[in-house]
Amino acid sequence: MRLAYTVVVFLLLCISAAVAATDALVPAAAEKFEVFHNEAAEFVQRGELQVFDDGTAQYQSIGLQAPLRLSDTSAIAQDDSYTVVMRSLNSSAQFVASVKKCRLNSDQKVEETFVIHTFENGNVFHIDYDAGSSANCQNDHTETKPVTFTRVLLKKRALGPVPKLNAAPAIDMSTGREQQPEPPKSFLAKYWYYIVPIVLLLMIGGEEPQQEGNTRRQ
Amino acid sequence: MHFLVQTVLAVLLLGCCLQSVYGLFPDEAGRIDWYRAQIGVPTKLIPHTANDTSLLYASTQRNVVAALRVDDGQIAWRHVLDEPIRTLLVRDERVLTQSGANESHVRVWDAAGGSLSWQVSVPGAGRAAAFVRGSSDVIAVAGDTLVRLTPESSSPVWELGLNNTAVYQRIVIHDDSVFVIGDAPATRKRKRRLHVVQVEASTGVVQLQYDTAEEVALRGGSVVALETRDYGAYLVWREPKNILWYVHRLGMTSPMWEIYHAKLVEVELMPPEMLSSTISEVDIDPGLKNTARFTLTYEKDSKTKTVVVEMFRDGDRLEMRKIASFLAPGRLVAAGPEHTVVAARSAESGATWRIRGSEKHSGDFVYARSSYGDVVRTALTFVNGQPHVVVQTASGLLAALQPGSDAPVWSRNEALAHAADMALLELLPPASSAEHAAQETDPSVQPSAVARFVLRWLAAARALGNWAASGFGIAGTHRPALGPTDGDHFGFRKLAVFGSATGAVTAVGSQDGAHAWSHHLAVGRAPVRIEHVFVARSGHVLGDAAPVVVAVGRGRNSTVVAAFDALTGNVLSQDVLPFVYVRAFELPATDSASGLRVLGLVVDGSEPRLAVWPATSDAVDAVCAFGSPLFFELGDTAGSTAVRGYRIECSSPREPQLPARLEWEFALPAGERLVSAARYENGAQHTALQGRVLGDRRVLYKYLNPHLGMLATQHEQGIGVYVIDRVSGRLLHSAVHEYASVSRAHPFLATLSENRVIYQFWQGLPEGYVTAVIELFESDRPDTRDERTVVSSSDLRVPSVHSAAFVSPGAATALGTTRTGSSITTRDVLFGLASGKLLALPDALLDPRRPMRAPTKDEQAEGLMEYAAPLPLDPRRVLSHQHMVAGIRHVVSEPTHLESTAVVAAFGLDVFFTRTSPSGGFDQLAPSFSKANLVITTLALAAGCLLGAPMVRRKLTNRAWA
Repeated sequence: MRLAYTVVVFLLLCISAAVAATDALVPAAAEKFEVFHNEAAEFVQRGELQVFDDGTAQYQSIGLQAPLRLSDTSAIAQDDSYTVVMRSLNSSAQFVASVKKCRLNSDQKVEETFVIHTFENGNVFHIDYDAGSSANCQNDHTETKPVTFTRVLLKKRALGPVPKLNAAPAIDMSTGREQQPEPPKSFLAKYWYYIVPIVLLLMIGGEEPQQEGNTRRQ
Repeated sequence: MHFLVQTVLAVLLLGCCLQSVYGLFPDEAGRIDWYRAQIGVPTKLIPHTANDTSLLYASTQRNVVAALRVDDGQIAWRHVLDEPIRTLLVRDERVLTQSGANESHVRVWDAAGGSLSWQVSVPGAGRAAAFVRGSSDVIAVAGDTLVRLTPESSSPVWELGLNNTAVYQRIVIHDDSVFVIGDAPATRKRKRRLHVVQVEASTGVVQLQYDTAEEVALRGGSVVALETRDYGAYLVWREPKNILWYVHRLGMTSPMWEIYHAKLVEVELMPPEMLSSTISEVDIDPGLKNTARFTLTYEKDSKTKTVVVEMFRDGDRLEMRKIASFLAPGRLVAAGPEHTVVAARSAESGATWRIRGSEKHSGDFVYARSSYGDVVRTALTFVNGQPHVVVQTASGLLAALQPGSDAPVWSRNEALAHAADMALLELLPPASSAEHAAQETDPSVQPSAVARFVLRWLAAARALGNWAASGFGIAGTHRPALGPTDGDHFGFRKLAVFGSATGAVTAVGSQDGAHAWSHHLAVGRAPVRIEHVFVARSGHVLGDAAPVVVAVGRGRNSTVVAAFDALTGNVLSQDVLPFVYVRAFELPATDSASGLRVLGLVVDGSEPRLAVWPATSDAVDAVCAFGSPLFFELGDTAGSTAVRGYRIECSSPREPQLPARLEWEFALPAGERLVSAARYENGAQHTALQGRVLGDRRVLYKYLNPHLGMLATQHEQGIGVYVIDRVSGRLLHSAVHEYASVSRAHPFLATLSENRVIYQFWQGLPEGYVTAVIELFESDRPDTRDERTVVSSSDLRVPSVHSAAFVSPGAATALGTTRTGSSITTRDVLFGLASGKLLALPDALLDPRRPMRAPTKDEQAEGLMEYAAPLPLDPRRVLSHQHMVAGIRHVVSEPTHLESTAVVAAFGLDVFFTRTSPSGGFDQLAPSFSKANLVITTLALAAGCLLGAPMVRRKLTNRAWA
């Protein structure tokens, strides 16, 4: 009965630890953005982009029913550009990026790529955007296709390289000369503390079975 | 018959082997570099004789204190200081300098040898300094403190806090009294005035302080401080609305002043001239004389006149007299010992100088004023008892003149010490005599290539005949005179055209530094600050129109663009444009009318616009006809927080200034400000190899983008580095260097070469200069590349980045890379070091892919070495060998006609030119190569063929009959 109780408690503890570990694995969102695309002279929300503090990001499309619209867009050039606006929900940050509209003139599906540049702590400081292809600007198609596939690349600002210096050589204070490395030890000198107990064990143990065998032979 | 045919064929074959042979003349042997030590444009010139050595001491705008030999103008000694020099004084056998903006460095140098006798640094900006007569001590004003410094101690003998309501900029010492004179600003109750503090020199105790000379300022041209040996020190000034001179003996407050009328000195002076006149000090050692002199400058009948006034005492009476007068602007007067005074004036044709005093001399220094500008400073020196007048012009020319000779005894062109840009122009080799003959016949008609070939052979035959007629003398001893505008067949000789901040455009030969021509650019009398030099038209083909270089600079609220015939220096055009440009660059278009490369000048404003030069409709059309859109960026200057990219728009109808549309904006992260920006310079983006061949024969493709740019920012944590595409504004790579910083003492330097960004910065922990390299590849995976045939900056290409950092070989002041004709030769990275060395390190040393362990066989095959942090300062790689090239600010490389060899120039304060072959001279014959052996072997083989052919033929015939 006591054994069963112990097993149950142990299992409960394991489950609690697993749940806690799972919670700890879920990354926290460092920054969340609403993504607006300019469609027919207005900016309509098409997705949400979350950047997590573990260096990952997630883009989620928004349904077409009653999407949000960006109100003040007068300062954003819209002439022959296809522009996206990313508005942070955590701060007042807003990133505007654009490509030529003709890049989306394609009879095939159009892909877009966000390159999110973040600080070491995951905060976003710059966004690059690409959609379609420059080859489409030479096409005869004039119809701008909607973007159907979104790719997000996350680039964290790297820690710049530093010179990798070798350790300074040790100086013998008595002579002022560089200390010479110690000569390599022999196998026995290196591992004597493993070998000696084994040898002792072998020497001390192993007498009784031999006697038994001798008796049987008799 | 057969033998005859064979002989003729053999002779023809040998004839085909004959070629023009180009070689070195004896005086060219071993000359691959030249070096010129400069001092910069002087701010002060003081002639002085110490220990029977006459030297001309100078402090310059390049923070140099130097002594020039008066007989030949060579540098006797010089020291390059880190901070601007505020004071230069020479007394007895000592030279005193005071320099520094935040800290006052007082240094005393040995006048003859230039060795530093002693120095003391005290907090506060250096404002004034003076020797204490009869002592080694110096009294100086540093900030608002008066100090007495002595060589015996690093601490001042005494310190005195001065009244901080005045700015003290003048020290006059007489007997044991120190008079410190400062400008006291106007208050509600008092007018602007001078404040005088009299201090006992031995103790630093204030004896007297008072105000005097109302409504004048020390540097306003209306007051002078005069020192005399025996009868005191004086202030002479004129109040703004007064025609009288006030003469105040320092330390005497009753009476405070005496009045003197300038008309007693210069009779023609009338009140209007007196009211607009200025007075200036003349630097004379008070120990040498007992009179004080100053100059009076005034305008009469639209002409500027300068009068040298001498003040003296006649018993108790104060007297003044005119020593000399000249029609000359500004302060052009110098004085020598006793009563010798010299003045010089500029005229359209040149300068006239005149010496007055114990000996009277006068003369003209005939020079083209357009070449060197006005005379701005003079000094009087004596060589073997003969007076020499040293004249300094606005562009930086120093010339020594002597009586009875129009030509200068010596001259130094210090404009090169202020060079902001340089263009290297390809030169044609001197035309052969045949081509000369063809041109002389009819210069307008150019012979065809075949005709030139025939003419050349005829000329060679004539030369052969002449040689035979001369009795087969030793050929090659006569060296044709090659000027700085003559090229050579290897492309080593080029014309280096420098543009200086002093307004000088100077052309010198790259081979030996020979002066070709100079021109002084000015708007009115104000020199143009030249910032760019472009080659607008190169003259590669014989008979083409002359090559043209264009200098672009800033005038006062204007932009000046001047075009020169590169070979003669003749000004083809000089346009003063009514705007201030913020960026100048070459456009990929040519003006059809003039054949000149079109330049773009960005005019900043709420909406930037692009002005093209030449300002013709043809040039604008040529720019708009270019196949691809054109871009430029703004805001990439130090202190900026955002960089913006613009696309040039071509509206219809065309406007003289093309509008530009904002394409992108790269806002720096909050808290960061730009400290440096870099882009490809001088064709550094060219490459011959699209990838790196790895040891296993696979290829790692380079990320090649001619629009690569780099931005460096400073923030609290360190330095941010951003690699961007300058057309799309996309960020390709970013990194942060912690504990790094940028300052005036530790500048950030960067250069771009092929797919690499190389930069140097100061790191605080561990302390030292670091050279970092970023190398961009298309992909991390070998044999993976962008398959698009047309690659555009507008297409997203995310490069794979390798980076590494090394310990710099020293504090660099300029970075660059070598460049060869086809970029096949490996590049050397050039470091212009603060120590005056020009170091060339192979780019393999800066390879970020160097392994951190012993390289594998594949890595060895690729040429990778094991990583080692320190970049070696290998003396064998110091291109400048024994020369100390001081103050390097620019390192430029240009290809020659040999793929192996590049011309390298380093300039800043000094100028140094050399040639280098980063991969060795693989396309040149080694000096040990025996041409005679080659000829003998060829002849022997030909003879063997001739002899062996009949035998072989006979053998074949016999075999056929057998």
